[in-house]
Amino acid sequence: MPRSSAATATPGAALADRRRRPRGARSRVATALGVVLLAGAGAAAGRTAPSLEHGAGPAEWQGDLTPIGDADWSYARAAHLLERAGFGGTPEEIGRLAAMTPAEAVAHLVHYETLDASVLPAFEETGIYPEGIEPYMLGVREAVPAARKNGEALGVKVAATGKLRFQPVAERSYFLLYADQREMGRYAHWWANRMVATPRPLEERMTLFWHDHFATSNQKLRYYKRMVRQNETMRRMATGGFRDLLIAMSQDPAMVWWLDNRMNVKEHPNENFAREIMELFALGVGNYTEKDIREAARAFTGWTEERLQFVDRKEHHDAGEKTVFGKTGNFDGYAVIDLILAQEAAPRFLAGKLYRYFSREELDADLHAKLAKTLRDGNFQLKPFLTTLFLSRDFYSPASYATQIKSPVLLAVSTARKLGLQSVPGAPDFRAFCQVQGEELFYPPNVAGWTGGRTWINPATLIARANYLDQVLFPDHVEPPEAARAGAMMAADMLENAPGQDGKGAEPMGGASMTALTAERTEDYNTRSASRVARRLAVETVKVDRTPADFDLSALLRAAGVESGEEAVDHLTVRFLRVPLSEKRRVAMLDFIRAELPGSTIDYDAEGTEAALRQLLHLILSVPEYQLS
Amino acid sequence: MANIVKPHHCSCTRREVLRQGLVGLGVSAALPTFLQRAGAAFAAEAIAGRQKNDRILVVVELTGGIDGLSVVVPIENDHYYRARPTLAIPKDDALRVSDEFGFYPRAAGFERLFKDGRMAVVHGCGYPNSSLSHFASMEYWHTAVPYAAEPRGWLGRFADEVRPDAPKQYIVNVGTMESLAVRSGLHAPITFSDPEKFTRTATDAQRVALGRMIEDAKVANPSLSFLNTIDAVASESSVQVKEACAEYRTLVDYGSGAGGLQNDLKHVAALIDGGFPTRIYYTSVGGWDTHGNQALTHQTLLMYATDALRAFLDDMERIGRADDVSVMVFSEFGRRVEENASAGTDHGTAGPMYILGKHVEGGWYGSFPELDDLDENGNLKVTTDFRRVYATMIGEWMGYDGTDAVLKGSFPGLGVFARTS
Repeated sequence: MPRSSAATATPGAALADRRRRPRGARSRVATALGVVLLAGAGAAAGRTAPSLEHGAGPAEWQGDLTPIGDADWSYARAAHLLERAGFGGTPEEIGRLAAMTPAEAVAHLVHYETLDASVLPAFEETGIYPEGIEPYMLGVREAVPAARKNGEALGVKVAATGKLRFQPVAERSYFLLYADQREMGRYAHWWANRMVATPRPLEERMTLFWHDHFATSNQKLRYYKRMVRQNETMRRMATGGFRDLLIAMSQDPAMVWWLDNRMNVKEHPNENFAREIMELFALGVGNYTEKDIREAARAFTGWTEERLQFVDRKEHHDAGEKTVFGKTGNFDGYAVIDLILAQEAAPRFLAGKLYRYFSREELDADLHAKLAKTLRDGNFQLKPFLTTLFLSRDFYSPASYATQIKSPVLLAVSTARKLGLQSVPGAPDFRAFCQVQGEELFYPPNVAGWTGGRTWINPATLIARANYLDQVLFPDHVEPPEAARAGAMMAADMLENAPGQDGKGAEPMGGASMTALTAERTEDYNTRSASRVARRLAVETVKVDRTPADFDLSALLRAAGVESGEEAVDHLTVRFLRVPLSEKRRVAMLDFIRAELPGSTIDYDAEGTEAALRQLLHLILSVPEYQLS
Repeated sequence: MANIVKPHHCSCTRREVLRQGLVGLGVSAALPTFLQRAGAAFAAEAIAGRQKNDRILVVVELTGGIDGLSVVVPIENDHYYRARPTLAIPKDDALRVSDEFGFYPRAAGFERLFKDGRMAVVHGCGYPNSSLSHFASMEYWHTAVPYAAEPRGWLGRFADEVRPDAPKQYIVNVGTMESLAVRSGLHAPITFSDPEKFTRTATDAQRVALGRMIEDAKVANPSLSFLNTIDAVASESSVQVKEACAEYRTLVDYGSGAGGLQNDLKHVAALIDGGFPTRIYYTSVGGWDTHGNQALTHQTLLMYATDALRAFLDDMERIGRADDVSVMVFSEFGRRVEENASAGTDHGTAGPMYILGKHVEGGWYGSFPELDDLDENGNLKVTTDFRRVYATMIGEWMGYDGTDAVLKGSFPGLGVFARTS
């Protein structure tokens, strides 16, 4: 009889559920792991052993911001907290949180500054930009005219005469384009590795939130250093005050380029940034007028950047009177940000967005109002707000528990964490996976960020997720690098030909690789050949990590005291899933592993055991339940 | 099963009238096989569905904003030649199809379709206060509700209305990402790009296990129910899609070239021929965002695209399904009338749409925008709301009488399928 996978919403159902299963297996696994974890854990002992029981709380918890009590704490709820406030973890990490009180566990995640992150490796730059050149020059169609005029461009001098005399400039231009994109990919991988290895998961999770919130794309910037700087700022201010962050983003070098505030000057105000700070960053549609935008834009005039530093150009600032939200004064950017945050809509907007990111999509008006009040009363400080959210009964209610769908990055990172890896594997290609799945870090689809949720999933992405995980577990299934490189080249082609003139930034248009079609064949230079030469050089120069995952599943299971195939199914279920397997799926897995590893106990030393266990794990990672967080 | 399609078994509904009309309107040659296939669909529809026929709609998106004036060239219009000093097509080079218009050179596929009477050109399509952003404008075309943040696509809403029972495989989206246009509340579109990759990597034993793990029953966790549905669609469809595409053989030449529309349309043909119950196919081809050095790029892409579209329709004729299939072609906007300094064109507003198929009443629809009466940005004024074309497709072609609800407004059809609906 098919049964609900969410049946464990009530403890009674969970018990009934267990009764249907062969005795002993799960509790033995639980005990084996529990012994290690419980050393010194104290009275709440039974709840700290790995288990999916006592997961979702009672339905009445929905909408209730009251903190859950110490007696309500459990391993499954600690695991839920770590999934949402971080990227999940090993049974050992979850067990440590489960052994604390809920207030201690949340504080451990939220007040992370005491945890030492200095051991995490810094990003090592390849160094693609030569000293002394202004790196920002949009492609060959700007570089060549500049070289024609000045005799040099991008640090390359031009011969006075001769056939193809601009070819070196064209090659340098294409090289920087491709190399910058590859370097951005390296940084994205470095960031994902940090998400895996950090002792401060909420710091990275909030940085990821802000990257989506202030969605800036290197598609338009084409200069990874600005993106890196923005990422560092977001990390530094991840859980501080929203006002400080809003100011920092208004003055952020990447943002200044992304939303054109560098072109927002007294004589020619550009409204792009003023519009988006209201529509997308702080208030939401319908909470401002077109006049508010026009006037606010004047207040932000002169805020620009130079060499990765904010610059306030007074000579470009419009010092006249402005009227924003009905208030009149000689406002500057700071004043407008304060006016924005004083709007009733401001705490509602951010509180709603944080709630949807961490808890669930649906938010009723009553709860929304309470959350907004919490944020406003806390003066837009994020730590107290997040503490309220993560401790609330609502956060552990059936509507919130294990109802989110993992984004591609979360899928890759949490898989690595649950396997006990220290980084996201380089093979299969992390960046290619994220591209295909539509979540390439530092390349959000547009200024509104990623839509997320169910839109991540369609039949093809679901199959591709399973196939990615297959390659994580079986690196020999990874396609040869030639094929992967061809894919990257296609992507480079698309970037090269993406439009750059749109006010919202270049948007990926997909489709044809247009290089061959748009190639200009002039006497001075040949773009097709320049592009080809530059691509090869970029691939050679910017080395991408292609290290596969190194782990020993047999050792992991043996250490957990797993003796039989059934215990392996149950251990891996608890380790990787947030909800129990449906009975049908569990039975199919049991039959699978019994056929692959006959005998009542697993012979860990036998040839083929590791492969069979990995195949079993791949089945567990292929079920729809694994997409839930 | 046959009795289901006999009119006297139904009360006198619009569906029955339509079906009688179909019999009486000269498509009887195609009828026996058509009705055989229709039987199963009508049976299901009698229970839950509201589509009044068994037809298939193929939507092709030209991503990036195609220059409509470089598809349907106004060869007698002085304003056109003045605005496009380097890009304009000399009258004699255009593929002339009427006194006023010729197709762009090498758009031979369109020329053929038009001369055969298999093509309707709808002039000046767009919407009020056009957005010049690819992203925003494409969203409006996908949802058919400009400036409204509508979560479902127009085809998704149509599917939800017509088939609330959400039969599997009702919508197929050939592409790497699911288009917002087909995003539905109830249906789970099959989305794939490369049929070869639309397959799980698994050992035989894993495959057996996976086959036993499909869950159809609803569960309390709505996200898990959703995932289970998509998982079931993926599992059941991937093998069928792969096999149908791998086995499909045709002598019709779909052409070659960048963009891949020929492959996508061949996949659509393979699924139609393979008996998929799909009623909505969606695909797209990009590269039309021609800000610079437009002429060669545009001409090449247009040649590939129109050759592929003509081949697809010829292929439908070949497999005996031409009576069942129509194609609608659109782009998120047209381009500025005046060419720019880089021998290209910038984002604009209105553009023509195209409706292709055997049952199309070929010719011109809507009025051609005045090239000397532009908006303040130098763009064409919209003469036909694009949702009238959508209404034509789901109303006249697909035989659905609830177009107002789907399109969230009243948009009369254009009479393109007047002969047959």
